[in-house]
Amino acid sequence: MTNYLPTESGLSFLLKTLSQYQAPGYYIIVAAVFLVVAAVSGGRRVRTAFLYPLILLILTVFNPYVFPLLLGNNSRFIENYYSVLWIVPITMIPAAGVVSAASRLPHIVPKILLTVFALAVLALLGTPRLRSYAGTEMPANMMKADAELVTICDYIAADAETDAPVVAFERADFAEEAMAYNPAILISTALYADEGAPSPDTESTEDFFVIRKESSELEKALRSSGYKAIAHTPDSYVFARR
Amino acid sequence: MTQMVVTAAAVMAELLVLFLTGGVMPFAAGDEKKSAAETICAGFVVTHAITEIVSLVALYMHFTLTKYVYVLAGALCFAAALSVVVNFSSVFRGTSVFSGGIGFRFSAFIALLVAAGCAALVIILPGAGDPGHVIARVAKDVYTDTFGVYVPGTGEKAAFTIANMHVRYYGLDELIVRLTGLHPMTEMKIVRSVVTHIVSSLIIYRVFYRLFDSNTIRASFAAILTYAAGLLFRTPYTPQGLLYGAGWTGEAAIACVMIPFILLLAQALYDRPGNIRLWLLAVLAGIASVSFTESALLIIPCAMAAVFIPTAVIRKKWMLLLLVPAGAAVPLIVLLIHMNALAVPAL
Repeated sequence: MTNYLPTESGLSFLLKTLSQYQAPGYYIIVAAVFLVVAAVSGGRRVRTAFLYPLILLILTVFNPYVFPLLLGNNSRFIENYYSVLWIVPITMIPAAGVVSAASRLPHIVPKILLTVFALAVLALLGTPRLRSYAGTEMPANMMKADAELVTICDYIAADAETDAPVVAFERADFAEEAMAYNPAILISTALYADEGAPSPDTESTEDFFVIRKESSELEKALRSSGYKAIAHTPDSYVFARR
Repeated sequence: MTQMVVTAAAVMAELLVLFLTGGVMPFAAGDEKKSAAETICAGFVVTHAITEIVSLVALYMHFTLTKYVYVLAGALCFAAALSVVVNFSSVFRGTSVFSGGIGFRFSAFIALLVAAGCAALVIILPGAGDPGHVIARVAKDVYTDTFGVYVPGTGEKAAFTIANMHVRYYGLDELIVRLTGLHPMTEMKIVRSVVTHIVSSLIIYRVFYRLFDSNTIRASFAAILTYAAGLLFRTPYTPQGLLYGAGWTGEAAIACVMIPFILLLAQALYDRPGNIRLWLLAVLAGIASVSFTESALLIIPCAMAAVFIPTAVIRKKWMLLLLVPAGAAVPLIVLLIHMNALAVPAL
């Protein structure tokens, strides 16, 4: 994932960072409109909470000439520079703007209409988070662990001859989750550490390999290296050294 | 079923601990109306500041996890007891959860909305992976009965320097896992996410409550609109993007809790700039924030400066400018250590 910086991209760094997560550039315009409404209708207190801090940030941390003085060349913080965007309470600004403006209107009907209009703007121009979860399977357990991985780890735990079995996962996400689900498992990166990593052979020291069922080349290599398939799930094989 | 009950009990217990420890540094002073919501918000900061301090001691003195859990539990119990003694009458008689009248109904509506969000977090949302190996570290510590010794997924001991020792130790989660027997994944992905969600919602509501001159209806509408905006803008660059995707991470705590908390502090200081407890809360917020994520070392000082300086200038209370170095001191010191600009004794 590329992290853009104002020193490299100028003002467009914001558009580029938003686009990384499917957020359209007009979010900035929508937020700016709500900020102006909040600043104009909200009074001094609302401006002190939202407008003046943003101005200060634009002059300092968000400024391409000033922020290098703050961060120097420290790559650890430059890599995470995008996180300073969290300082701006972007979801509170529309709320402050709408409520401030509505409080200036004399009657209840215009207030309701304004609120509905604002919600419509947010709904039509936004990218609803809930939509992104459509089609996602509900978690199978209270750990929110992948059900297939749980089954695989349980097979490994039942078959392991040591307290700390070394396991190589073809899927990196499985490896990541396995460490959290069963901390006894030690992870080998043999299958994905480098491109063109060597196939398993008789010199391999891993106790278990977990591979996809369609990885026929890996399966062949494992079977000819003395590993035996001890279990399978709908998508994976579990091989153990014998 | 037992797991569900224990998980729910863990959430309730943690909120109770936050409520009790928050009484040590309440927002309200003197005759100012107390708020259970703000007490819980303050408790979040107090609890995590205590956890960070105990974690530092534990790492330096090579505590086992068992010992660490006892020490941390003892420290939190002491803070809770102190809070009860100091605030006895106000904690049990003076706090107001509901405003009464029509305000009550709006507060209840928000409570329903927050409850719906929690239900979604628990039941529907799958939760992100663990790219930072955060849950794996908690699991490894619990499995080996050590505190921050082993690297997850390997049999190696971590090469500790003080530069990395403070970050992401999640001591409170390890305490809950040890006391309840919950799986670390359940604790992080459900209990931690739900508590972060609830505290974040409370802070946002109270910010608007103070912003709109204690008008419950306006504050409620604003909180609801904030919720709607969070659901309608899909990006991790909105705090709520983190909350619904990975609410148990330190990044979510920083973006959804600590930064709005600093805004809430500024609102309280706008009304009472001389309140010493608010100043101490700013210092504790700085201490607490360093435990969540490395990004906080930069973000929190920037957020404090961005929020407190305008408040000081607009209110013409120039002493508030001192709040920036006071609150940002600890994150900045740790930042200097990270950048090797400050030498410290080895572990």
